[in-house]
Amino acid sequence: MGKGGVVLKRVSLSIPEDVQEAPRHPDYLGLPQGTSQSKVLENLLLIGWRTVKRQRAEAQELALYAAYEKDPERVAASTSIQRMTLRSGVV
Amino acid sequence: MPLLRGTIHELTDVPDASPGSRGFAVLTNDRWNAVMTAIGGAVVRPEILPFETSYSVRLRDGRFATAARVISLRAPDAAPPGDPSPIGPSQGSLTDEELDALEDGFVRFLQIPMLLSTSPTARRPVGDAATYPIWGELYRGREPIAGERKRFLVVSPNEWNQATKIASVVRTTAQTKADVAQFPSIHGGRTRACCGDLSTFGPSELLMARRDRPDPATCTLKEMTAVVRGIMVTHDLADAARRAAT
Repeated sequence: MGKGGVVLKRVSLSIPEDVQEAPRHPDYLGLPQGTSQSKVLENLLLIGWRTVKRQRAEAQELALYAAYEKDPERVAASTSIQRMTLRSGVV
Repeated sequence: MPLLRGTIHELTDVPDASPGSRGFAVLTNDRWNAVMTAIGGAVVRPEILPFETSYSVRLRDGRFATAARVISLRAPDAAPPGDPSPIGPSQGSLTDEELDALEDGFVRFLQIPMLLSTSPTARRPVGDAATYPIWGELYRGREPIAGERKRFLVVSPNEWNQATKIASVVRTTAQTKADVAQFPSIHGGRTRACCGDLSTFGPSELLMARRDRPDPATCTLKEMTAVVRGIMVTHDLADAARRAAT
């Protein structure tokens, strides 16, 4: 049972050579010295997966904005919005 | 090079302002800033109105960054020749504390705690509602865009709009079809709000006369909630909204 009552699934896996030093540096993950190897690797998995999800979301966000920037109305609209804003005296 | 969120840039050629006195604190998120040719940010001024204080933060240099005046400007390297960008050189960056305080002011200004509450309730307009832009209503812009007077949705609070006659608005478009938070659907999907294009207009830039109003001219509370959720993404306000909820 993990934190917050989440059921953890146990699997057997190979640890890549680059990652094998991670359990010696729990502080890199914000964990106290002496944290068990399995706990460090568990946290590493969590961070890695969250990073993958965040990067995917950011890539989708970039693609969305790039598509919006190509909207034929977009240049005229943003230029007009700038003119209206500056004329308004809000600056 | 894209502008970075939290940096302050000089606003150049501002009428009746001494050089260097006005700034632009970038607020749109860095994915937006990396791709888009118009950037959102808060105006930095040497002075603010008394009722602007709850939406503003006093900076180390004595000026104020104010979330009541978040505007959208063309990026310096993307402005067309006839309409140069007023965004000038960097004047430094907001500290983490200043940025947090500015975000907190923006969250209050957009009434995010009310809209994200379990039972949001819109406050009624104050005073004569025909004399200022009303929160949650759409107005046509005075200046045609691509030959048409486009609709802008008011997102600033009525008390502010009434007192100053200026209003923060997001443009709407029927061109964008993306069904995502940043472009929430309004009026049954006929149009979408472009949350990243939020800007602030004075009284003469919106057509207030009844005959000029679009039909329908009002958004529902659910639609307004979706719009502020979109602004929370484009202007990176999720952490501030969480702070406001605790």
